[in-house]
Amino acid sequence: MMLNTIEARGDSMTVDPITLEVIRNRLDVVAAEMEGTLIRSAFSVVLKEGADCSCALFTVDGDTMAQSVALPQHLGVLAATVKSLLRAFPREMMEDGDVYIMNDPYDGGTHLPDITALTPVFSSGRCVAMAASMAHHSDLGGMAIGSLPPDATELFQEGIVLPPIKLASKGIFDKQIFGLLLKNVRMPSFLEADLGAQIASIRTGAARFGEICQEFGEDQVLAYIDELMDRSEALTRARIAEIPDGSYTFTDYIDNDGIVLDKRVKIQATLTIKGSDIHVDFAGTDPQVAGAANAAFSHAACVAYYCVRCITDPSLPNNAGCFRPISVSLPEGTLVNPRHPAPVNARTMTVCRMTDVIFGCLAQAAPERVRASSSGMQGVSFSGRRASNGRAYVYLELFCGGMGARPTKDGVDYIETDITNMMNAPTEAVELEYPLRIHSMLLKTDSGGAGLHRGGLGMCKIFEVVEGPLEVTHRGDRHFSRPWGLKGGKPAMPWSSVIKRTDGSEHKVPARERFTLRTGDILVSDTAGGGGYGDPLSRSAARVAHDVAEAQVSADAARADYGVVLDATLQVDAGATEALRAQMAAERGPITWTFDRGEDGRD
Amino acid sequence: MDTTLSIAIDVGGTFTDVVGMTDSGAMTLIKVPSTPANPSLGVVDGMTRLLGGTALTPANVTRFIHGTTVATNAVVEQKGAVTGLLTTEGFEDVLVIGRQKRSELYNLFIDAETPGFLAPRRRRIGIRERIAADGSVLKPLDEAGVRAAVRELVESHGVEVISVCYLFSFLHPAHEQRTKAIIGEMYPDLPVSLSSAIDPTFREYERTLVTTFDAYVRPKVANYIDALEGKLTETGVPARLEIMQSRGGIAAARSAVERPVSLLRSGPAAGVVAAQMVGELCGEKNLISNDIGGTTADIGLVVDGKPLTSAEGKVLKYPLRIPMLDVVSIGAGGGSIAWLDDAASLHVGPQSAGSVPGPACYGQGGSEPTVTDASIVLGYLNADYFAGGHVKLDASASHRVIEAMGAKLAMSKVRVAHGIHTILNNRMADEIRLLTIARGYDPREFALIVLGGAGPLHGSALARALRIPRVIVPFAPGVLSAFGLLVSDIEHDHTTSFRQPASGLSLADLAEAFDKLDRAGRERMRQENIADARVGVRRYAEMRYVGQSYELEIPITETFDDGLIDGLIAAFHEQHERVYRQRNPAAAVEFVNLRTVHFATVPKIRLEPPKPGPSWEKAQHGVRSVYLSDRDRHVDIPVYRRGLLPIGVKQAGPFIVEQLDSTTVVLPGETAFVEPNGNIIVEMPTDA
Repeated sequence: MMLNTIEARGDSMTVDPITLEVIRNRLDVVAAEMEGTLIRSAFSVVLKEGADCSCALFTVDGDTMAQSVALPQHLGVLAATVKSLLRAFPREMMEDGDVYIMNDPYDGGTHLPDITALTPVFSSGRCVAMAASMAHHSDLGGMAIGSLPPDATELFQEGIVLPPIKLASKGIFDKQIFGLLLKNVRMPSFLEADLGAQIASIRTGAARFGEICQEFGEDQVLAYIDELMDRSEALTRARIAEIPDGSYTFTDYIDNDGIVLDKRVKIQATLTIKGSDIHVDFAGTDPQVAGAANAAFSHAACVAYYCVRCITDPSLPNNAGCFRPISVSLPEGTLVNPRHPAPVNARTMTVCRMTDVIFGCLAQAAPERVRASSSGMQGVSFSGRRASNGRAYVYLELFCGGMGARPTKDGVDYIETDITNMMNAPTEAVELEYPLRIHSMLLKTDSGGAGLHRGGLGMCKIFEVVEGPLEVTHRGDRHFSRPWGLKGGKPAMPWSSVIKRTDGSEHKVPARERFTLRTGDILVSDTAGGGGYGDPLSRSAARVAHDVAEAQVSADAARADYGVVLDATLQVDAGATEALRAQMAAERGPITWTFDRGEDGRD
Repeated sequence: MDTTLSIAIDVGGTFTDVVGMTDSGAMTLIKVPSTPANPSLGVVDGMTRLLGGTALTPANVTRFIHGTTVATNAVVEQKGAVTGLLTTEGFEDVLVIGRQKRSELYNLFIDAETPGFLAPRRRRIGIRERIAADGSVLKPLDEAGVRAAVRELVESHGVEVISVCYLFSFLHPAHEQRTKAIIGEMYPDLPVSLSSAIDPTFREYERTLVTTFDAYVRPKVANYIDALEGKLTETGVPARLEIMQSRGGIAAARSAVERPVSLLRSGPAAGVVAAQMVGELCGEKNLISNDIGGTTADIGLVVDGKPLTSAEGKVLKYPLRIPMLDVVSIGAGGGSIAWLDDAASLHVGPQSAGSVPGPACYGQGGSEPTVTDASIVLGYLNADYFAGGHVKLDASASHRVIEAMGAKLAMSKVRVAHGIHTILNNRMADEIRLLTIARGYDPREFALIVLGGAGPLHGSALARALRIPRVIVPFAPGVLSAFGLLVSDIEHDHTTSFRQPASGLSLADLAEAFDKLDRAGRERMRQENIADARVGVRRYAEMRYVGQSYELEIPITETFDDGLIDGLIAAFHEQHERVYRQRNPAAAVEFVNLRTVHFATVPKIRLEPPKPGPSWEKAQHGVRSVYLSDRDRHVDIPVYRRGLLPIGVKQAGPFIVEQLDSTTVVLPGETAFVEPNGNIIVEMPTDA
């Protein structure tokens, strides 16, 4: 044995920093291998190209020990489902080779397509840990192909609900449960294969963790994992303690609930910092809604964890220690903690806005650590049956947009931000597989909010239907509000989707809608940019001229937003610029607001 | 007949390694400083100095093989050519939009994930044309638009090279080819990279990326090769210049410049090929090679006598789809810095002190403890015999910086130094686990071969962490990469998109597609004056389950008869099970790409056997106080001079072997001997 030996005696343990680091790195490698196994052996595009999945190792009590770099939206949510599985199946009952699954949003889950699979990890006959993964499946039944109906009004329309279920006992699968599942979904071969990929990944995790235990001894490994959590907690607390104590409240909105299309829904939170503790209370948030925009309760903690990770030390390993300083209150019967059986499938936009709300609170407490509002995301699925063979298909386009500007730099153009982190599908992959043609996908000039630091750009993507009819479920947000700017930065352009029919008629999609497209119809999707940060009149004129040359800012916007006057060759007219900037500054007066929401005002 | 000499020159960041070998197997190795400002000078200088030590002249040089980092440096330093990019209209921003995913989740201050610097917006121009997913033409090429765009790129933006990437050009390359012809009419000297030639497979971002990187490095590589060939001719070298490619094969320089992007990962490739050759000499077919330098460790695999290849790898942070040897580089080397976070947890790397300021013991102002400093404290390295005594190290500086870190951790400096090694070794072991166990290989069935100046210091500890039974320390670990150039086959790969369901596929269609690749491969070999009879071919099919988007490469070993396709399907299921732990016999399988590798073996090298030393006793050069973890203290152990070791005589550890370019540490419980070709074999204790 080349490693220093460490004595673990009860509660007083000598910590060897070498072994600690070796074990920490090993855990990260195991999580990465689990994730790699899942993505590589999965079948569906949403997993393979979209990587809409997460893998993690947990303690026997369901606390996160290590989580793969995949999707922040799963941070803490996977833990909630693991805890509920452990409540239903106490670990004393578990045996080596068992596999447990669940997806119930009212028991810790997110929405029905996300299934959690868990297997206990045994070492020397003792249950020492849990390996779990969560993956988005292509279809889980319900009223719409893909199980994401934005017009659902109750959970039962969204698909098949799985309470905690034992799927395999000592490695033997329950064929009846599998049979029941496969009979209730539209693409059973995909579910079977993707669930197989999930199970391969948790088995890999279990095997690897077992090897670590064999190498270092179970007690020592578990003691070191406790120590790693304690250190993550200490480092997180140290960074929180630097922020002034106080309570900070922020309010933001989602466009509608998918049913009542002209009514915004309010999300409000008050974030209280006391010493090194953070408490988030969502009191003031609107009641739950009729449509599918409700966010099951486990998301609120996820969002709080994510935001705190961003403003503390992002390089820390993901474990439960990072989450200990954080607590969350959720009023029952609200958008962020609905009562059964409210529909929940289109919750991602709600969760994006919850992130904005918490960052909005933090912007008042520690503005040097946060970004202006980012675009958020949009999921649009195109589904139908191919005329040639009658086979069902679903293509899920996962859009993102511009990143909000940061206190020290511009936002990145068109990139995943905040709680989502998907891959897009290549145009060539889409056109090879699905009856769609993509006419263009171009970054959108002026879509990023102006500022000392400019928000990142969104894009415009144009689809044409080659073989209709096909059904579209469109789940978006910020079509009727803007990603806000910070500290003088301007808000970004909002999202927009317009249908252009072959008969020449046009229809603006009200953020959430289900509709049919026929052969030749066109969908034009504009994605939002990110908000700006700081006074645009302070951005160097040369930078603005460069933005114009790069088509990130138009010459008109250079003048209107930045007060920069360019000549015909795009050179800065210094005299005219200085005069215009002085005039604009005088008309505007000092910047007394923190947030700029455009038409919705400044506060 | 006159003596013929093969020369291989491997240019690294700091040193250029030169190996000369005559037809009788006599070998000369020298190291000269690199000349980054004008790299061809260093190359010619290296050759001249090598010849100076022999009775030979440039006229005796019949092979001249070169490993170059010119392409890689252009990318790393962002000093490539001013590049223009022509795309299908509406897809000008594919290069910047990329795949949208970010690599760091909780860092709000990340930078772009895509290389917009290759061609900023004003140098990306859309052309009206469109090919459909079935390869048919939806919109013909707007030739006037091409002319206007090219004129603008050249006249207004000073573009020196043009990259062309149209949608679905891998199915129907006519638009790209016509575009190239038009550019040629307008500016005959302007280089062009076509995506349908560089990487004719689907996924437009990845294809644009590799094609545009190709364009970006093209003028630099071409100029360099021209200059070097000119100098060699001037000097009177009759040999034609040959170049190492990323996939570990050699190509005539004239061929390599047609796809310069294939040189981007050639640096680590030579090491793996050399490792394979040394493994062959030692009778080992399964090898893990670990080349540990100052900043990185390059880890590769040889399975069943063949280096593993990959169709995609990373250059900087960008996924680059070029066939390459599957070598993973991690930030772990002699210069890796040890540091403490705010919770006093100890980490090592990935930051490196590099060669300037370098480790504290270099005495150039480095104040942070590095792995090399830890090696000094442990007694592994001799401060007075580093690089054969040519570089004097300041051991006291190493002790000082490690001691200071120990004070913060309440640990002795020796424990800290050993800890730094342990953390580094385990990080490398973690990476090897991802390369082997995660893909279904068991490291216990491999031998570890350690290269680079620092490799042999870490071999034993690394082997123990992974339960690897044997470590091979090659005869010249520090310059072995250059040796790899001498023994590599000449290789050319060709790929074609071939999306076909496996069931119902006709053998004739498959054979026809391979036939086309075969003709291209043989034509390329003929251009290099290699007779058809010398050319062999390996064929591969990239296959997947319908609906999947990652492929597995299945080698085709059987003849083209009726059983072939069924055999390939069966081999695919098997490979899928091995790599991913599941198979789905009911699922439909499809072909995605076909690939050929044409190769011509180079004349077998006959190494002159080393002169055996008299005995271990006679080879001993005193003792050194070295920290041994099992005894937890410093112990005096023998130091041997490598050149004097006997052949085939086992010696039990612990001891140290010193040589010009490296130091080998053999720990207690291990035994080592020199095999007849001069390589040291270290056998691990079976219960380790």
